[in-house]
Amino acid sequence: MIQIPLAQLPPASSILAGAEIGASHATMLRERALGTGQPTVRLVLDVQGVESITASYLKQVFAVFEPAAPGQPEIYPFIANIGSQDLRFELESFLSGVDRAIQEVALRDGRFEPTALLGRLESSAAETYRELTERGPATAAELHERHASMASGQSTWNNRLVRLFELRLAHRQRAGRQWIYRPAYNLN
Amino acid sequence: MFITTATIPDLERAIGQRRRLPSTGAGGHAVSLGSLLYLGMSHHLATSRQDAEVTAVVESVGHPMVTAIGSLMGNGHRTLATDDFKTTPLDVFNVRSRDDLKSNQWIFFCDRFRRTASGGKQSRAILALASVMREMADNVVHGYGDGVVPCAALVGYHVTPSGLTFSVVDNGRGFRASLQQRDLWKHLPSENAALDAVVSKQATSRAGQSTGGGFKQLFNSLLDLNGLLVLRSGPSAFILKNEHTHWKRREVESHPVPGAQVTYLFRRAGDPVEEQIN
Repeated sequence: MIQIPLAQLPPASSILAGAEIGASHATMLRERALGTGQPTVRLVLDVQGVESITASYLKQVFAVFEPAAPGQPEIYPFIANIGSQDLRFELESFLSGVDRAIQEVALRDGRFEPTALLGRLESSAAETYRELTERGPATAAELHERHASMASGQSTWNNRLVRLFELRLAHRQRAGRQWIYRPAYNLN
Repeated sequence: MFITTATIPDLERAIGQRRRLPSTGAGGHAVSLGSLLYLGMSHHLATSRQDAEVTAVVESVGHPMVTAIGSLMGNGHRTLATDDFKTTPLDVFNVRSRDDLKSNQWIFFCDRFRRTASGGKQSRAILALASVMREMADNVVHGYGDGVVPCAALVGYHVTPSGLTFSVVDNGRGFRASLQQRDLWKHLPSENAALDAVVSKQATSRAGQSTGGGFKQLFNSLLDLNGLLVLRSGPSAFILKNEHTHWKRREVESHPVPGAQVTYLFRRAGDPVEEQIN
């Protein structure tokens, strides 16, 4: 897990605004993730000291978490230390506007614990994410079996899980012909 | 004569006709921030191409800040301020490349604006204005190439007891040509249509983005303030007045002016009008 204090990235500022600085910070985040040498990286966006953050900036930074090109690490984002309601509102507004969510975490002694989910997740994806967080890793077949009374078929559960993976909320690992999904914060 | 943002097209016509302004004696004509940046840019461009006639027309305004800004653009300095950390009611940042907006000097400049405007107090409104000024500067330089490709743009602020103004001006292609880099906006027939697309549809020239964040940020975060926004590109200008629940728009067509300019005026009370720079 790497923790990046955004307000301290050069040029250090409590206002994170503009695509130029967003793109520059995105490059730094990618380099830090690549520097770990790991194929999967949990990256905590530490917003301590940040007073304001704009959509143009965030658009650039969140591009870091798109599916990775071959040879590049898969980066799973988290956010920590949201210091004000205004900042939380700015983050929520951006995430809702682009239809995505990020896991907020609390940092304690170099470890982090999940707290809230920030942003917007459509209800079926939110329900699937709850399944993973409350009942642990699962495959689409297991979720289908667990909820056999529901109309959702296995492919529906699979689509929901893939969506969580695309949003980098869930990590997946192949096991035979199936994928096992788990919340990204449980990634070792 | 008080030269405001609204009189810039008249000045451009005077420049085109090589017609000097009548002298007003010491101190020259009064200028607002918006017109000052335009004049400073014109002065720099005229002196760069050694056009003595145009230089003389611009200098006939007689305001000492015009030549000061023209000189700022011609020398290696980034700002008028000489102390990075001291507040000042008027300052101008000289943007020579996109990389300048990633520099510490740019952050210091934005911070000076914020500290001057807020008087050192916490202010959500001033924080929003500071964010928007940075977004507008970001938009203006986006049209230029990556890295250190030279560009000519100015960002300025002017803070008075009754309010503040910030303005961003460049000598680029204008909104229409910038948007037309994308197929989505190739059909725009005029600068007026381009401004409409920016205001109504948050059009952006950034590849891969359906809407631009900068103007969206501006319209959303400044809606509660007593302000006026002036967007100018070529012969078109939109004047948008904040009416608390919506932005009321007025369109102006005039003599074409090179480049584009975004000016925002905020007043603590009364109509938001441009103020003279002493």
